[in-house]
Amino acid sequence: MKEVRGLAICSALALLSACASTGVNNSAGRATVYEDVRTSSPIVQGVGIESQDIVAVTDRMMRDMLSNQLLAGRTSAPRVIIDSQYFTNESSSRINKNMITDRLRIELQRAAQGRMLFIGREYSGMVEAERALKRDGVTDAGTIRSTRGTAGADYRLVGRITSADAVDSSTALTSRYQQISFEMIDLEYGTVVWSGLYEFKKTAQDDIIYR
Amino acid sequence: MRHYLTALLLAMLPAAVSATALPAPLTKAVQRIASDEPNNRVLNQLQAATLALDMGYREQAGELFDAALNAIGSVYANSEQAARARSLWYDEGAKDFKGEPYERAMAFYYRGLLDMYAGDYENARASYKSGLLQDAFAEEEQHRADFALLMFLEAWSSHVLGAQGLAGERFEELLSFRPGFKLPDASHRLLVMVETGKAPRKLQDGIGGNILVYRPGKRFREEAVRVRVDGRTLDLNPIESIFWQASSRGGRPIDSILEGQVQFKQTTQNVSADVSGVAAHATMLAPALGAAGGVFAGVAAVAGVATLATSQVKARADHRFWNNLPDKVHVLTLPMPAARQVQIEFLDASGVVIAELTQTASIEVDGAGRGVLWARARPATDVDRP
Repeated sequence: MKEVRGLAICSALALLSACASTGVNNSAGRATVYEDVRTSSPIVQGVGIESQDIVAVTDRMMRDMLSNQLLAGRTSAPRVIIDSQYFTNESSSRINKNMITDRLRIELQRAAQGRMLFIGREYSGMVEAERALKRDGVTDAGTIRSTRGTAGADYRLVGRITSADAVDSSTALTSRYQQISFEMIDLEYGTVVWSGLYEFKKTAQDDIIYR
Repeated sequence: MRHYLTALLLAMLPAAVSATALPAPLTKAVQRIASDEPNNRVLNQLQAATLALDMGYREQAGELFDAALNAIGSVYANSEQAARARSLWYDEGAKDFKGEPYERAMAFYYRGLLDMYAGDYENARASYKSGLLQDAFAEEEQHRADFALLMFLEAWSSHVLGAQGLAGERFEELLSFRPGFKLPDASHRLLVMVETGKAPRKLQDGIGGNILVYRPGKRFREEAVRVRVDGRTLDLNPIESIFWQASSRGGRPIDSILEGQVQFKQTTQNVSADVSGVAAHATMLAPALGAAGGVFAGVAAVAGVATLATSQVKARADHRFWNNLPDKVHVLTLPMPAARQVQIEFLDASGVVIAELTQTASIEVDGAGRGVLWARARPATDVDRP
C-alpha cells in the first residue's frame, strides 16, 4: 500500500513539474491560408515591391502591348524576346526581375493568341545542344520539322526599375516612389517601337518604438 | 525523449535550413529561433544568419537574412507588441526585436554581400540602398545617412555593373564622409572586405535602466588589416566603425516614453510614501478616532494601489543586441590578381601583427569576372554576452 501511495505522490510531482514554466516558446501556430495576390497582405507590409504591384504592372503592360498595332496588329506575327536580360534593377527594392518578365511573357502569350511569337532566348543553349544531337545522328530528327537555324527576333523588351526614397526623420515617415519602365526595341533598326511606364508611391510610418 | 524533442524542434525550422546537417553551433543557433521568445525571433535569425555566413552555409544564411529582413522591412502600424512596449507595465524589450538603425543597416549589408557572392550585383545594390535608408533615422542631423560602408558598396556594385554614372555619384558622396578615400580604378574587379573586432554592446543606464548606452566590444586587439597577394603587401582602408554608427545616433523617440514612465514611477512613489505616512498615523490613532478611522483605511488602500503601481511600472530600455557583428569593416579594391589565395594579417593599435589571427582566404570570382573576398578576424561564435 505504501508503495502505491509513494508512486502516486511521485506521479503527481512529475505532473506538477511538467506544468512548470520552462521558458520554451510553445505558442500555437497559424493555419495556412490562401491570400489574394492582387491585394496587400495584412501581415507583412513595407514600401517595397509586392505581389499586387507585379500583377498590376504586368496586367497593364500586357493590355497596352496588345493594343499596339506594330506589335499585335501585323499580318505576320512579330517575334519577340521578353526576359530579364536587359531589364535592370536600379531601385532600392530587392526583387527577382524574372517575376515581372515571366508573368508579362506568359500572360501576353495567352492573351495574344498567335498575334505575337515569343522566343526563348534564355534557353538557346539548351536548344542548340538538342539540335546538335539530332544533326549528329545521336537522336532522330523528332516529329515537328527541321530548320536551318533557330528563330531570329524582331523585337526585345528592355526596361528599368528605379526608385526615389524619402524619409522624414522627425516622424519616420518613409516613402518610396517606384518607376518601372518598359521599352520594345527593334532589333534591326534600333528604334523604340513601344514603351510603357508604371509608377506607384508607397508611404508608411513605423511605430514610435522602432524610430 | 531527448531525440523526440530534437526531432520536434527540427520540424519547426524552415525546411531547407533543417534539411542539411549543420555544425553544432549553427544547429543550436537555428534551434534557438524556434525555442526562444517570439519577440526575439529577428535577433536570433540575424545571429544565426551571421554564423551561417561565417561557416560557409550561404544558402541557409540567405534564407535567415531574408526572413529577418521581411520583419525589419515591415511596418508595425497596429502591433500588439509595439503597444505593449509603449505601455507602463512592460519593458521596452517586450517589443518584437527589429534592431536599432545600425543593426538594420548591417542586416542589409550582409544580404548584399550574399547577393555579390551570387553574382547578383543589382539586388546587392538594392540591399545597400535600403541599408543606407535605415541610417536616415538618426536624431543628430550630422550623423544621418552617413553609413560610408554602404555608400561605398552601392557605388562598387554600380561600378562592376558598368553603370559609371550611378557609381560616380555615390563615390562623390562617399568622399564627403571619407575625404582621401582612394576610389577604385576602372580596372578594379576585386573587392576585399575584412571585419575586425566585436559588436557594440548595449547597456541599460539611468534610473531603473531607462537609458540605453553603447559600449565597444570587449577583449579584442585588432585594429588594422593587410593582405599579401601576388607577392605584394596591401593595407586595407578602415571604412566603417560599427560602434561609431551605433553610438552616434543620438536620442530615440522611445527614450522620451521611457523618461515619462520613470517620471510616473517617481510620482507614484512620492504619492505612495506621502499617503502611507498618513495611513500609518491613522492606523495607530484608529482606536481614538473611532468612525473617522474608516476614512484613513481608504487612504491606506490608495497608498497600497500607488505602491503596487510603482512596483509594476517598467521603464527599462531594450538592451538586446546583435552580438556577432564586427567593430570595424575594412575594404580594398584592386585588379584581379593571378593568385586566388590571399593571406590576411591583423595588426594591433601599435602596428604589430597578431600572429594567431593570420589566415588564408580564397577569392571567389563570378561568371562576369567580378571577385569578392570577405573574411572576419574572429569566428561569429566569439561574442560578448550582455
